[in-house]
Amino acid sequence: MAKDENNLGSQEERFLKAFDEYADPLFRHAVYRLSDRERAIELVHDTFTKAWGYIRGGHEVDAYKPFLYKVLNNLVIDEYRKRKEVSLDELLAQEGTSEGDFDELHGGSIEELTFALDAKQASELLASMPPVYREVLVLRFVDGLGPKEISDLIEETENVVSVRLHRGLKLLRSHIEAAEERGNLKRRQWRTE
Amino acid sequence: MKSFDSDIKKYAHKMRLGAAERNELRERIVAYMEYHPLPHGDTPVDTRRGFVLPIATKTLIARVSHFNTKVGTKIAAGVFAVALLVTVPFAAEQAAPGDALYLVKTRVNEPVLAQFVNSPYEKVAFETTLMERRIAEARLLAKEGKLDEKTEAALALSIEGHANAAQKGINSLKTSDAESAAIAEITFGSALDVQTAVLDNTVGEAGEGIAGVVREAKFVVDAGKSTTTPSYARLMAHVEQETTRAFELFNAIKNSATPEERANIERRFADMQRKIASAQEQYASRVAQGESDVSATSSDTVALMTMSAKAPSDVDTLSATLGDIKKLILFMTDIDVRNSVALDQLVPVVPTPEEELTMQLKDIKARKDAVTKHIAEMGNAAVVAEIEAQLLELDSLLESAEAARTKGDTEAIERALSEMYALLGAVELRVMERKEGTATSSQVRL
Repeated sequence: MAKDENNLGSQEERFLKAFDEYADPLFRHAVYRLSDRERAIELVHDTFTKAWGYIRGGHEVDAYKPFLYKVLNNLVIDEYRKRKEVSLDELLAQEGTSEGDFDELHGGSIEELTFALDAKQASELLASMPPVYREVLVLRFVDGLGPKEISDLIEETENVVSVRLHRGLKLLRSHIEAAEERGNLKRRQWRTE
Repeated sequence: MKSFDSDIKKYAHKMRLGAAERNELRERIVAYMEYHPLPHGDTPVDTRRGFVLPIATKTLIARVSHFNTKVGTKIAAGVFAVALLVTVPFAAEQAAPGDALYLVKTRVNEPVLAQFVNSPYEKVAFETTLMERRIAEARLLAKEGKLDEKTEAALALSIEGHANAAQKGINSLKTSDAESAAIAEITFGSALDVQTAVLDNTVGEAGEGIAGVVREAKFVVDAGKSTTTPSYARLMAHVEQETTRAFELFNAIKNSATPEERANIERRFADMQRKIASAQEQYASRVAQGESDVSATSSDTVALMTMSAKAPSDVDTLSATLGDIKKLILFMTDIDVRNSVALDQLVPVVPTPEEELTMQLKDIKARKDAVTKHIAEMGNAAVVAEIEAQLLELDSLLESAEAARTKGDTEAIERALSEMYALLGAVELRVMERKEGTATSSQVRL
């Protein structure tokens, strides 16, 4: 893996440079995943202290970005476990669909699925998505990572990432439509009152 | 797609850390880095030996250097002076004998810390900490090959001084507050146990003189042990306080510990919880038995709680548990201790009733096998037949013990064990007699 930081400067300087560069993106990622600003700050703190512990252990970090995202992602998963949210297996069992079934990928590209989506509403409704979809949607659209990077990060194949993105976007669209419907209903009620 | 991508990013990117949040987070991380510096001199070191310039100071100097005006220079000088006042004592904490800042550590930091000691009990704890610090410094210097005779003698003298001061504090407590003296003794004794184990395991590393001083201090503590025992309530309060501290420490280090280390520590916690539960049961039964004696007093519970004449078993169990927790805390907080001593040496595993039963059954089977081996060499067919019949009976008892274990019938297990030990004893005696008095019991077992 090519180093994204040059070798000049001490470990501390490179580490603090990584903090300056990635603290905000990591914080943003954590907020969208957890919907809890205070907890997100704590997780970013833990991400950096863990990364420092790794460096102190004599390891070298070649590229800080994927490394820090990986550490944070693990911490978010731990946090979900603590909160006892629905596991991926449970979710798949409820849906009765295996992630190995990729037929639905032919039902429309990501471009088509996002075409009619309102970005503002989508960013607000990400928090209401199930964790398993929120993970890939945040990584793809908030953090701007490509399917390959997401696949490396969450240790799933690119196909699985694509399937989750499709399902997540469809669900997001249905959430947006439901929200709009609720809005319309309210407006109709106000008018009649 | 591009529009959705860029739009959603635009909205999402409004979410960022506030300036204050960001600064605070950065400071916390810098502080963490200072508390956990890189090993092997990766941290920038000034030309003065051992003077580590903390990152916060470096950052501060870098920022202040941006000022070019006179006001800026004055501010920079002021900030630098304050930073120096704050960071020098902080940096001195890492110093070892021979370092430029060592005198700041022993002549400034430690006397200042001593001002916060408010009670004779705290004084003992403080002197214990200072003694541990000096031992750690000796080990560090020895590891680096820098422990010369003069430094070793100075450190040994200092260690002796702190150990004597702790012991003196305990003795003085004995006259004013015997219970606190007994608890302070447990704490001091645990620290000495750990240090003795570390020094024994690193023979030659920290110097024989220092090991001798620590061993002597341990001897003095053991010899002068209090006859008074702490009350159940006082001990339980200390045990709860220290257990909470140990759990917090464990939570802080558990992600960086290996699975084996985690399992080892978790096992000790489980052992301690069992001991505490057992002490609670013993205490409850003591209260129930003593009800008639104390009912005459106005506050029966208080009377029992402050009971301190003869040590009942619950108090013994809690005292031992408190000592174990202290050792576990030292093990978790001191990397040198972790690297030099196995946890089992400091806090041995206490078998659960289930494990104990397994060990007993294993022992019985091994003894039975030894007997079988011996009778194969015997010539007297009548005696062999007699012993074989007894061994068959032993097999049947073993089966009933296993069946009772499956059912969880404790009484039946106890009964079967007692019968098996009696039978096995008789069989082994018979075998010994046949070996014309030349074999000993232990040889038979072999």
